[in-house]
Amino acid sequence: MYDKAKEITIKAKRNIFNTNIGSQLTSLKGEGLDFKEIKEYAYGDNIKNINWKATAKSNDLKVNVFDETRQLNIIVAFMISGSMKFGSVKIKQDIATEIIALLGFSSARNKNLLFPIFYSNKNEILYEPTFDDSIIYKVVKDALEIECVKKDVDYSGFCEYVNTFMKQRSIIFVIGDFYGNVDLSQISYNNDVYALNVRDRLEEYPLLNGEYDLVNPNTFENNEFYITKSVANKYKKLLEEQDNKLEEHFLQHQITYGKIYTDDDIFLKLLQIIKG
Amino acid sequence: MIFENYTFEYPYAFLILILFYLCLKFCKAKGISFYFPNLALLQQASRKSMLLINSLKFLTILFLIIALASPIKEDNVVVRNDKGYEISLILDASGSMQEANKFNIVKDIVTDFVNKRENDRLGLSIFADFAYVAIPLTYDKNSIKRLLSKIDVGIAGRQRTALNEALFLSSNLFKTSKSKNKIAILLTDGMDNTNTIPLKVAIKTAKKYGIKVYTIGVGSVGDFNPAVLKEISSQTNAKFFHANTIQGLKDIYSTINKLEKSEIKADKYVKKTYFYQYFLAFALLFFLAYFYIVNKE
Repeated sequence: MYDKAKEITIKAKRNIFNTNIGSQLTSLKGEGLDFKEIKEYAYGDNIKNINWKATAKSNDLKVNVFDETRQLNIIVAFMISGSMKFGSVKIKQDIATEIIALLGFSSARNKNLLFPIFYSNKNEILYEPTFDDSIIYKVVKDALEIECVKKDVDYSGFCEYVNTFMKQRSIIFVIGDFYGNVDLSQISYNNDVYALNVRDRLEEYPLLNGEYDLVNPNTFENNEFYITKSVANKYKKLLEEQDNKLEEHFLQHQITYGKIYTDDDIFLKLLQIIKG
Repeated sequence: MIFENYTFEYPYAFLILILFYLCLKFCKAKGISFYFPNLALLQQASRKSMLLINSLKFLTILFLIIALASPIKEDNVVVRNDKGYEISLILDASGSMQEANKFNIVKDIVTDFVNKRENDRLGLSIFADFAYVAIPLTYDKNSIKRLLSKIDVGIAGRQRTALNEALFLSSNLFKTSKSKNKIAILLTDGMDNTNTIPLKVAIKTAKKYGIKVYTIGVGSVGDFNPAVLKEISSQTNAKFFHANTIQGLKDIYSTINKLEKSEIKADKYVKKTYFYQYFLAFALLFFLAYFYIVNKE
């Protein structure tokens, strides 16, 4: 495990320092110096930012909008459920760890404050917000070693948790496999949310052919299954429907959504997703 | 009911069904077991095929067990003929039997007697001008009763009484008999007046086959010859009765019924028709279908 964590760390660091991601992972609006645009005044806007020239021209209150250049709060939330302990090429949990490492080190490099959260139906491990590489290294190690089995994610609980401890606007990366009742709308209004769906090809198209005793890793219930091609196809179709609904939900709440498979190049995929 | 005679030869075989269920629960085959995410959806996806496969499995087992329980159709038929009684009923159908409705009364009583002798082979002979065997020894009570209801006085003529001939003929019915208990019940209201066969020959034939000949004289003593009837019965180790009332006649038959009590009941042979092969065939079909579906891809 130790070696694996080190390997992931080194890989993540190499990726981050060899590639110029840019100092900004997001385009949050804030109180920086870079002017972004003029918009109509809305209730709650800072009156300091009223652009009087533009107001006089249009006879409507206009305010200047600036890019956020402050230090960003980056929440990396690992949604821990039993189903993360699955994978044909690599275990999904390892992939999630790699993502956490990439995000962690890149936020540290950009001097952003990292809030690691390991959440199932409660917060599993408490971390101080950090810039520190060594703490990120510990987070990576924990992400590799944490016991996923017999846990299930409570998404609304997670939203509540984030909303109570995080009053400032932040960038939230939610890493999980998004099964079940997923609702991230509660955190999507104030924050910039990225949903990173870690999946395995086999779990999306389980062409196993035969009789299996399958165990639900969330509850430990087991059942016998005969999986034939038709069953696999049907399952694939049902899962696609489920995922389409999920995507719709994310689209509706302006959550950036991306799927990362266990056989993908994680760094490239992550870049793709984040840059849109 | 159609299924009245259908039953299972080994109904305890159905206990295997309980065993099957217990096994299904507790002694599962150790197959490949691993975690799979989103099992609820997979359950939903495989519900139909699981239902099909499981029902095929169940049907296979069920039909195998039914075949093992051996469904049969039972028909009660007595075939063993070495232990039961064989009774030849010899009835006088001469013209004189028509008097006072005697013949019909005799027919009723004899029918009743036939009903009581469930497990015996019965034969029926009629005599008047000549004697003839109406029905040879048979287990088929129904045809005896049917025939009894149809015969009437005059069927063998009216004038004379071929008593000796009747005894002789019906004795010959036992020629091939293997039974140890051979009985003839001779009922008459007259004397032999045909002279076709001498009395001695008739008795000799009866004795030869070891037949006990119960004789019944109906009416007053003048009508029949008690000496002859007594002679017949005593020579064959049987009894002579005499009746001139309906009740008396009934009593005589019930006495004979009691005297020659049929003890054998266990020797009833049950004719069984087996149906297990159909269930076996269906079980095989289900099994093949199961294999086809499981190994389809």
